[in-house]
Amino acid sequence: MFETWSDDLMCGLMTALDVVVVDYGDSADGVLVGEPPPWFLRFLPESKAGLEGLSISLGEHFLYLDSFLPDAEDFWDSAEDGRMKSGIWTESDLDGKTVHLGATVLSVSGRKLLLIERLRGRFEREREVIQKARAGKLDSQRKANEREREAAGLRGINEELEEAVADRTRELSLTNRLLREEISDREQAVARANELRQQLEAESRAGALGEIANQLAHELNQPLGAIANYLRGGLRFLARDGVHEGRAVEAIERSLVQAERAAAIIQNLRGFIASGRVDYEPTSVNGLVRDVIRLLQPEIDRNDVDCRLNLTSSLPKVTANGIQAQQVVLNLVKNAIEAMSGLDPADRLLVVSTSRAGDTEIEISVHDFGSGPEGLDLDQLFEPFYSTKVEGMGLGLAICRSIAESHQGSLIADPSPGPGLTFRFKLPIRVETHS
Amino acid sequence: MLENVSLAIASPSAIGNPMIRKKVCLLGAYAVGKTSLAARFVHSMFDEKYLTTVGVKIDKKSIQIEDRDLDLIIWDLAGEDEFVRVRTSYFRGAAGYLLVVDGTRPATLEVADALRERIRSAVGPLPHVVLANKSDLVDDWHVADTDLQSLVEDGSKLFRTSAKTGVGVEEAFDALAREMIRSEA
Repeated sequence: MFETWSDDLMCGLMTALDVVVVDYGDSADGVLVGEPPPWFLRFLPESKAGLEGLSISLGEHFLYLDSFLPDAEDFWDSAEDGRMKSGIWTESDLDGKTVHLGATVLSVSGRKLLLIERLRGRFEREREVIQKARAGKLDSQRKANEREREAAGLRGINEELEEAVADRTRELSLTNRLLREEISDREQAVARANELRQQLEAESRAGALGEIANQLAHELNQPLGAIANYLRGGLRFLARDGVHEGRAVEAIERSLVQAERAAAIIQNLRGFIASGRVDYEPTSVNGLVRDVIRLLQPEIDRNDVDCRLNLTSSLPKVTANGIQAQQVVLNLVKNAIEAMSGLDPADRLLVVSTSRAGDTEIEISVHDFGSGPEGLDLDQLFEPFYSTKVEGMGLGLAICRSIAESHQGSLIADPSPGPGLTFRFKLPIRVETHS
Repeated sequence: MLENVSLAIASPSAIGNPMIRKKVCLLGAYAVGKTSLAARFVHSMFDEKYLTTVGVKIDKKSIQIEDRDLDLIIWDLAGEDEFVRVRTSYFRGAAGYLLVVDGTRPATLEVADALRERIRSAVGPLPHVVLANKSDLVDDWHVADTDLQSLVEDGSKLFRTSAKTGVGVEEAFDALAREMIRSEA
């Protein structure tokens, strides 16, 4: 080491290198060698900045050395020549300026030296190398995190999609089940409605039988009475010595005609009340109307109704069940008669018409001159158990519309201008025969 | 000519400084935010720019705990990795330490655990607190609570901190200072 510490060259060299040299000699007090550089003085308080009489603890003003100097003493105590370097440290001087420093402990021929060096470029180079390496690692980690986050995001989206699909599938499954149940319910309801309709139709026919029983009795009374009269007349002619045999035969033949008429009336009645298989066949609407009017003629007469038929000739036949179609017309005519019961007999006019309705249908209309639709809910008229009559069950028109629709026809109430109300019963000209 | 000047190596008590001086170390993997935590605590500052610490950076802050004046000498040690190894001698004289992990980097928990073992081996058990830093980076948080809890199974306190926002920083240093005073008694 140096022969004398006051050697200008060596001290100048240390100053030029920004190195502070402290000689600890044989005691704990260190001796500052040479002129300390300005950066070193900025760690010392003003009062101790002067070189004369400087007595200061390095450990107090260099916080790092407070911990490092015990290591240095241990090193010096080992009595071996050599050196020990401190790590790099950074401290702030009294002006708050950060300074990067490094220390070296030297043991040379029993001399205890401490070198404190201010690090400039070396510190920056070392930091740059480390930082570059770490920045690369950090960047890799950041990218890995981003990839993981993206993957997690994709997993999340995928899970959400799967969940949404599962939810939708569950909803669809539920909807499907509900639809199946609804379809089943509707099918059951339709089946039940058909069953009820058939029951109602049968009951209605039975009810209608009761209603027309009197009329039938009245109608049968005439041919039966005629038969009885003709037969009595025939017997009288035969009792007169065979002279009037020819007249007796004539009386018997007439009674036979009346008997056949009565049989036809009864046959008609039997067909009317029979339920079960429904046969459709080409039917003349004009004939159908005439049959109904003939059947109701006694009632028409009893009620002093002026019944007029306005039947279009040469109408094509409809394919219908004659008995059911008659039942509809019969109901409509009876309703019309009842609708006019409150009118003066002179005003009781009933018009039953037949006509073509377009290319595919024939219309039977029943028009009365009663009080008309005023106060009536025309839609409700066809609902079951809706009745404007005190004693009515409210099934007649409902059944009639049901029959019309079962023929693929229609039945409506038409509030046409003028007095009264018109019911229009349409039947298709061609309908497939069905059961 | 230059003159030789006599310097004394004196301890604080020898000078008669009534201030209690406590050396505390900031330990953790690199880039967990140790320097930023120190800057937040000492200077109430935060700088987004990352500058790696080389060696150790020493700061000082005076605080008052339970009517006692305390000088905290904060040793912000360089993060340890394959490039840099923390000198065990840095631990000498420490009265406590703050173990810092980065909530966005699970690997920093292992480094923290290893450093704790080293400081225990070097200077014995010391008061310390655990800081889960970067709590402001919610979207990037990758550390599970259970993993953090495993770091404080020895009874130390856990703080979620953000050097950027300052959340939890004062509280962590304050808790450590109180713990050091208690352990002194």
